[in-house]
Amino acid sequence: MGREELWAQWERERPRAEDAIWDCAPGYELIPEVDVPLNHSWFLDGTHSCPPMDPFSVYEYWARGCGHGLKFINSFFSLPRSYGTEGRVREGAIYWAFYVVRDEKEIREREARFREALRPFLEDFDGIWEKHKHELQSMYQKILSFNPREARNIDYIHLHWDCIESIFRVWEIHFQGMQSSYSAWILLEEECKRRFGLDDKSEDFQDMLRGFDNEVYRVDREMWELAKTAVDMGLADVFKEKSAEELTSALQLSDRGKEWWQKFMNFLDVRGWRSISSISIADPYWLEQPSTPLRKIKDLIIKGEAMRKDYILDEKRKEFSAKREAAINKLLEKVPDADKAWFRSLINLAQRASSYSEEHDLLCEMTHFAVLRRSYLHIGEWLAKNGCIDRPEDVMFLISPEIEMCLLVPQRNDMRWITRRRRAQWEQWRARFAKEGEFRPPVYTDRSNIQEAIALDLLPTLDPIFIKIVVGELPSVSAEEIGADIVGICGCPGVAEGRARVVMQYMDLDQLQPGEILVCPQTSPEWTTAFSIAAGVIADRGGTLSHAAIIGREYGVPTIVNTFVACEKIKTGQRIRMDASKGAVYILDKEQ
Amino acid sequence: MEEKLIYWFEEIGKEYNDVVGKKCANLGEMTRMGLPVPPGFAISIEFYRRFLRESGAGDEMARYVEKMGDLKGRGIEVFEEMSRTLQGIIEEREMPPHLKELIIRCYEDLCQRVGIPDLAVSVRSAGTESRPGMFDTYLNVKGAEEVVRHVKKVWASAFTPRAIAFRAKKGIPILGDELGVGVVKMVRAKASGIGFTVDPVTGDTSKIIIEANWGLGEGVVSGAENVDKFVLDKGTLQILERTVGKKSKCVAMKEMGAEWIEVPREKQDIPCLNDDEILEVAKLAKHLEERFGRPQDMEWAIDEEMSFPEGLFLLQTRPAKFRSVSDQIAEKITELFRDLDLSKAVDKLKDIQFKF
Repeated sequence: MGREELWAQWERERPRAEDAIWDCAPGYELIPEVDVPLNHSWFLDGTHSCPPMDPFSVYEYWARGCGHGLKFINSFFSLPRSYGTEGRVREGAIYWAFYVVRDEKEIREREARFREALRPFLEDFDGIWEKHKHELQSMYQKILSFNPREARNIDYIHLHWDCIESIFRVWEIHFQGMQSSYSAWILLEEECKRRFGLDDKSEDFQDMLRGFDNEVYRVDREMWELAKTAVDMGLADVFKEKSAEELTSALQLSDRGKEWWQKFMNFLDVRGWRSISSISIADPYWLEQPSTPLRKIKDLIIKGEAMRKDYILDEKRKEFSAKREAAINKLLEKVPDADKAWFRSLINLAQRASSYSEEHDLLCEMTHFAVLRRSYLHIGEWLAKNGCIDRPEDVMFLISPEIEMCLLVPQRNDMRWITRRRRAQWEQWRARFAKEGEFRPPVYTDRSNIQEAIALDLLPTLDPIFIKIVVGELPSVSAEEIGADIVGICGCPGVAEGRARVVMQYMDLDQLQPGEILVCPQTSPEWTTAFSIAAGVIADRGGTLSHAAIIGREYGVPTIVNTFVACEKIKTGQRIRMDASKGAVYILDKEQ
Repeated sequence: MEEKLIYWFEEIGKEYNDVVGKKCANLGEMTRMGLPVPPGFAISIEFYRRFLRESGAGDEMARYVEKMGDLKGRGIEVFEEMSRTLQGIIEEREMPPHLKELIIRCYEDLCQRVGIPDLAVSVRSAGTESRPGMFDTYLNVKGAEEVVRHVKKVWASAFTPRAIAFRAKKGIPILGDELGVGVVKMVRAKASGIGFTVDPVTGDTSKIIIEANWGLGEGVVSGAENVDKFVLDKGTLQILERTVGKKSKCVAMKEMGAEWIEVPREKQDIPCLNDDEILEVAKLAKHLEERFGRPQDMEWAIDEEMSFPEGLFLLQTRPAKFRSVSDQIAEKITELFRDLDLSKAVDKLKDIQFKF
């Protein structure tokens, strides 16, 4: 064949723009015929992939960033049985596979390094976390110092690189605290179970580990103060009558309203860097969408929380810290003298697991996503202004190399053929998800079923993060065995009876009435105010270190987690009774 | 100028390890840091080499060792025979007069400094590497001639059968352990003992542990007798625990040397330290940990003839050997992740949930 002919053939055979495949995850596309032989089983990450994510979040943040963090942390700690976790992308979803170390000799070598790597965290967890917090804050400050009014094209590209670098680094920090404090929690749980028959669902165990303040609670407290101030300023009626969305303009109508708004803005200046989801940069943050915190404040006023003299957690914390010392001493009395010192030290560290779980959520996820979203909206504005994409938000349909390619000369790059196609696809998937629910397989595997896949390709890693998140949180008895209708595990002990309120998303939390039992899929920091209103909380997913369980303990609200089917079986309005210590839920009027 | 062969403790420090041996270098370092160690001087390793060279002992010993040939796999009787010969050579050779004069002059200076003629001193071995309990130390030595004689005895203690066997086994030259010698004012101890700024068993760093007995420190360090034990909180220095042991024996000074004696019946069951003394020892221990930046294992003694707290002396301090709490937890976590059995979880897992 002549050269001209070769070129013509090459031209005929190349992919066309119109039939290009979903191409937003180069190197990370899940290709079952390649990836399954490589690693047996790939599990759908339902928490972060429902509904399907935008390309930037799924690729840059989850597959590359989180995937790096998971591999980094296993190398960092030399986790004996795991090299880490790998991410793949398929149709807006992330799939994970686990690198199991199977060679016994290598496991022994890794154990020796694991012991060494853990030690600094056992010695000074707080000190390391303080240092990391400082690092995170300076990283965010640097990124937020970007000023679009003064920016040149080269400043945009540096902003982009700073953001990408932050994604990798934040995940490294994120998992260091998690791996070490969760390990301690699991050890304490196992030691208590083995020595004293006490597991982490029991009150005596949980009493040792609650009653601490942290950054997330401080934000909640400030909102409560704002609610109280609004009542004191005679604004309660405005909050009661107007919806969260209407409040912004309604408050501008009076001087007192304006004065309160100013206080609220001061609060947002500091606390408003907080994404409402920490899953995708498609979701707004508080400063951008003040109706989210306003809805919480409104709720505190309507439900009477703002009438309290003292903040509920301040009271609870006093009560729980007194109880905590007693619980610790009670346990230590049973511990032989030779083991007391390390046991006490272990309790201290396990106490960090709850606080860390909340604080890292705020600093590593919610704040980080707000910082990323703001930055990419700036980049999107710059690209849209130059005709490169249709609108600023469309930047989330581009990935790193594409952004790099067009940032310096956006006026001569037209990326709309890519962003339009990906947006259309994304919207189609989300519509399908809204209509049909999960439409993607839960696992790609060459094992015979999902249980076998979990048993052979996940559990042998013995990774504390996965043990806490995926494995160790299942009810030990069935509902029938204890005569209950639904069974879960105890997040916070206690008994409650009342009307059920099923709430599927936090935006609908205003329906929850005082004294009702909240039934929900799972909770996040946006749900926290509900714990001061509800008589009890039932969350279908989550373990003893999940948000619902941690917050349940701090508020002292009976909480059951990992019920799986509560949202489906319980109807709003039904009377239910819960005995959290047993994990039991009873539906009292089934006819309704 | 003549090379310096003897040093006052205040003239030396850690960096003199190879010049005067570890124990002397440490005593120097502690003196330099202003810690309350008893006064004294260090006879250098070079001094010992001079002695070997000028007395002819060195050549004789070298010839003898060469004649013995390869020692690998030889029985204990060979080492005993070598020990008798080598120790005999050192002890029988006269110390060259000018070397002897150096020791005598220093000893007399020390007596003068302290204001006590024929001052009682301990004559201590100091190798460049720590070999605990391997070489001899002589307590309560008085008079210049006796000091000189005991210096030679210390050198000779590098040639006990055990020490020779040890070096033969480790492939260290038989003549390889050359010792410095410390001549230290004897603390006429009413009571003495050890102090730990960490519980060596549990790794608890929040406590100070003091063990004490009547008399000289050897009565505690050897671990042979019941002693008193006091536990203090490191932060508040509050005394948390007092265990008074039945102290039936202790080490006391006699006219020359020291010996185990019976403790008088009325002193056996009462604490050998009062609260002020306990507190002062604890303060010293805490101070040492702060100065050295890590938990310490120290030896102390209280002089019966001096006023308190000036009479509290530090004899030795070193980093405490212990399994830290973090070590223990790290070990437990490692074991846990080796043995954790998750097989029961498998049949319950219908799906899995990720939340980082």
